[in-house]
Amino acid sequence: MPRPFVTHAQLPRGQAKIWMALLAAVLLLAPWVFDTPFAQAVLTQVGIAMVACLSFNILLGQGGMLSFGHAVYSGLGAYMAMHVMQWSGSGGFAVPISLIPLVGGLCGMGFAVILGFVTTRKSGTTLAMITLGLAELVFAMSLMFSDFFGGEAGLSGNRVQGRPVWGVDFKTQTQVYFLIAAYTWVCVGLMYAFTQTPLGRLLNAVRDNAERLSFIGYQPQRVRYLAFIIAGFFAGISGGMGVVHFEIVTAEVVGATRSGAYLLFTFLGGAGFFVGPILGAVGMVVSAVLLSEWSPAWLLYLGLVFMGMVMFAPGGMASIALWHWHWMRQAGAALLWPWYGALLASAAMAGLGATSAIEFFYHQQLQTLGGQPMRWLGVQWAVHQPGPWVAAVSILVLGLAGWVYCQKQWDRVWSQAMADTPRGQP
Amino acid sequence: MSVALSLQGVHRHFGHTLVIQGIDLEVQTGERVAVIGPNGAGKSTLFHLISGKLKPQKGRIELNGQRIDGLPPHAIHRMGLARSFQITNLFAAMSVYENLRCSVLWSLGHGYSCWKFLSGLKDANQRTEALLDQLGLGHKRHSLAMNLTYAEQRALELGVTLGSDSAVLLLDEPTAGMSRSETRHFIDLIRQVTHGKTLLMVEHDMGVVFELADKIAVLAQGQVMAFDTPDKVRQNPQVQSAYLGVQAEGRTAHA
Amino acid sequence: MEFFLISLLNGVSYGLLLFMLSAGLTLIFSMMGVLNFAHASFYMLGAYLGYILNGIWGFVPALLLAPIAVGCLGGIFEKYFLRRVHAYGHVPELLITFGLAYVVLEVVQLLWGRSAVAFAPPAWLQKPAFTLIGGPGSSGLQWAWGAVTQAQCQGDVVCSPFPASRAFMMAVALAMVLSLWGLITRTRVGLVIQAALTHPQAVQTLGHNVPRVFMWVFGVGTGLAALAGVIGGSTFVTEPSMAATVGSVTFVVIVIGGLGSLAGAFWASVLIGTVQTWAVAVDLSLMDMLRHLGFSSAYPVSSGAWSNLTLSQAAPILPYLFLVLMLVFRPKGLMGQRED
Repeated sequence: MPRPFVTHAQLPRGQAKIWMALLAAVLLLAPWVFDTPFAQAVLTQVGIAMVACLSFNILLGQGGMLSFGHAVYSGLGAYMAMHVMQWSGSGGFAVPISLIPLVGGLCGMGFAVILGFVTTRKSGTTLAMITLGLAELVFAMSLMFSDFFGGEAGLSGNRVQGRPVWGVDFKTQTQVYFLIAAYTWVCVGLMYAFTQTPLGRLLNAVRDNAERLSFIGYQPQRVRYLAFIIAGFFAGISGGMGVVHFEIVTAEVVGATRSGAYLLFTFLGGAGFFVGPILGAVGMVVSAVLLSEWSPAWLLYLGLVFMGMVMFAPGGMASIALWHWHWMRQAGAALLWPWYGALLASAAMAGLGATSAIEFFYHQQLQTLGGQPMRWLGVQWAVHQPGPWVAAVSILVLGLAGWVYCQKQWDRVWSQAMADTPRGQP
Repeated sequence: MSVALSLQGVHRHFGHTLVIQGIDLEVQTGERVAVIGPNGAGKSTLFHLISGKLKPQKGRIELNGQRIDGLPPHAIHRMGLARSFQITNLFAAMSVYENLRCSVLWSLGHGYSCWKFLSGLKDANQRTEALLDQLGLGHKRHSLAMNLTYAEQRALELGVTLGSDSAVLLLDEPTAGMSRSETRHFIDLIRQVTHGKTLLMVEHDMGVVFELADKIAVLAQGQVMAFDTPDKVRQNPQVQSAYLGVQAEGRTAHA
Repeated sequence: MEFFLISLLNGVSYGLLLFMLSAGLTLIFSMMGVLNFAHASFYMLGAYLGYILNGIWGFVPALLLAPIAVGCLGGIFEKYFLRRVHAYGHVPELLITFGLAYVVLEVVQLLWGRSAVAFAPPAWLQKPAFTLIGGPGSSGLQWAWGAVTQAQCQGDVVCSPFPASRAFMMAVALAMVLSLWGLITRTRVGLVIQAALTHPQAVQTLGHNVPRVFMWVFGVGTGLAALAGVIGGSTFVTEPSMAATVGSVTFVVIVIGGLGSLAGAFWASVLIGTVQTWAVAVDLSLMDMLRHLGFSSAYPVSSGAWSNLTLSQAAPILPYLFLVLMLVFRPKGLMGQRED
């Protein structure tokens, strides 16, 4: 049976260092390219999301543990970090803002020690159900105990406190960005390093065959528990980073929606690859911040893309990238380029037709926009008349037909190329 | 000679089905015992009981004098017992190399560590390389376990069992489903790698049994019908009628 | 006393509604191994479809046709979507239902808006089924069919009507329980289902057309959820958040009852329904209850969050508390046989 999550060969040490250097370069240069405070805020959110999704994937992709309540650990870490930040700012022991994410991490780890023990005693569906139950429990409690959770309005704090250290007082978005970027870089490095340790490999073994693992001397529960604690630590760091950036926490940070988002986007990025959650995190922030502005149908698109991904590319965006990489290195690939272009064009047409139809439909249904004319792709459309609809649906149908045709041609040319390739060549 | 493994009055039933109905067995250190018997005799259940997958409802099991019945599998393994499975039971999405490396980790004392890199564990990597050589799987070291041929998977299955260098080995039908030549090669391998160890092996292939075993234990209906050297067992009339067939006299071990 | 009885009846009726949902979910999970995250979405679809059909043809046709329509949708989903990911394992199966839940929610909001729609039960269900008359003024507890005149309810006499819509809910649910029980214990199909509830792989090897059985099971399971939706939607409320509210409690129910056990799902539904309904109505705090039981605080207890928390405020967490405790101490659930 095919399995979506596979342990890939270790990167040679040198290569891992190159990737980390590349990441550092990207993180350092990004704010020069995206230099508005808004853009830098988006970058900051991407960093926070990266750490959260990578920590989630320690459980899902590496450990085979499906958790519906990962936001509990990032959220509770965030709440504790906020309390510490508030306390520090109002005369308590002065905690440097740059250490607040670490506070979040330690608290996330603490909660994972307590709650993780009961969660990881079982595996599979039971584990998933426990995480769901705990998530609902914590969220329901957040509405009950307003002392700790701040009630409806949540808790807010101020990161500009204390004396500036080396001129850094976190007044500007850029300074916040660099703090988050530093934590992100370190956390990505640490989490990658984890995958190369004995415990990291044992975690993969527990995912593949917990029974066999017990027969080679290890307790599966212990492996899962330790991984859970480590994932909780990094989740807490992500929560703490969020506190520094947003300066507010509400019950939403421990909610089912957020846990669902971690699951959705980590899977979209590719849970079977280390880099998958990184791609997923970018997707998460882009859709929440940009896509939601651009279209009222963004959640629908997300749901449909997700379903499509599960059906056709369960390895996520990372697996699609890998497929491209393998294909392009194949001998005889040159023949396929035109068909690749045709497939892409068909997909674009189908996508255009589908999104147009959906946008038209949304425009019709939403009362708030009903009175205004529909602007889509720079053109005005008379949505109440059948014309635009016919056009949209025709383009969709054409695109789908084109895809099916090009797919067949691709298969034909591909198998031809395979037959023509002499044996022994890659 | 000391007793490596002893079973006294072991019983196990599933609901109303009595599978193991009182087994007494003593395996000396360094002995090679083949466990044979018709289907449904309880051979795999016996292995499950010894290795900790199941708990006996009555009786004791001792490993080197220490009680192991009722202990979980990882504890029994740590006391020096390793087993293989009749149905290949590997880490399917990991490479051959990783499968073997995981199996050596505990015995080399690396525990649950997350502060050292696997690439830096010289002893683990050396042992894994040695195993790869012995098994003849070096050329497939990066292949995922699920992509191996059946015989290669059985070899890896054996390898994962041997990784810990345990003194007592339980092999459950290691050559099941193999062709004649594969079986031949595999038996040589088993003989090599289990040199000096205590071996308990379930086998259906009589050729393999008579070649490898110091003693044969015949299991039927959950009890040990005979436990003796191969020649004596071959001549045992009960065993002949129940299992070997009356023409057992003329049989030679063919490879 | 009347309060207790009415609460009990309310709780049992809510529990039976939960059972209609959890029965379908249990069937789907036990036979296919799929934890259908979108099960409550089919509940919601049933309610909305019932609302539409109620407007066109009336309540009873809606009650009959909506579940069938939704069941067909469920079967289509199984055949063309779920089946495709079956080969990838249980996690992708779960994830596709997860995605479906998102999509259904968006579509429902798109078609019918974000606020509740006016789906009310028909006139003949809006009257009380019976009324309990009691209180310190009268002698003992009496009850009367239907509504009761104003004159009888004056002074100390308390009249507690029990709505017919609730009684109808109980009746439909019980009818469903009985027919399900009859199907499972008395028919050949039922025998197959019983076997597949605990040993799905063995049933496969016995040669049953497994994909077709899966499609039917999924269709029937979602159809049952839709039936619950028509009744629940008309009795309570029909709005986009109804899926989320009832969805998580349904999962709690099937886990507490024991994955793979219909009887367990039944008892767990009734238990959770009763406890939740009753707890919401109890306005006592922890301190009040302890005092009732005779404990008085030796230490001065500050007015913190814990002491002043009333049971009604804590009611939302009770099912999840039970879930976690059950999973910790008895993962098989009340009556389950499988622990996976």
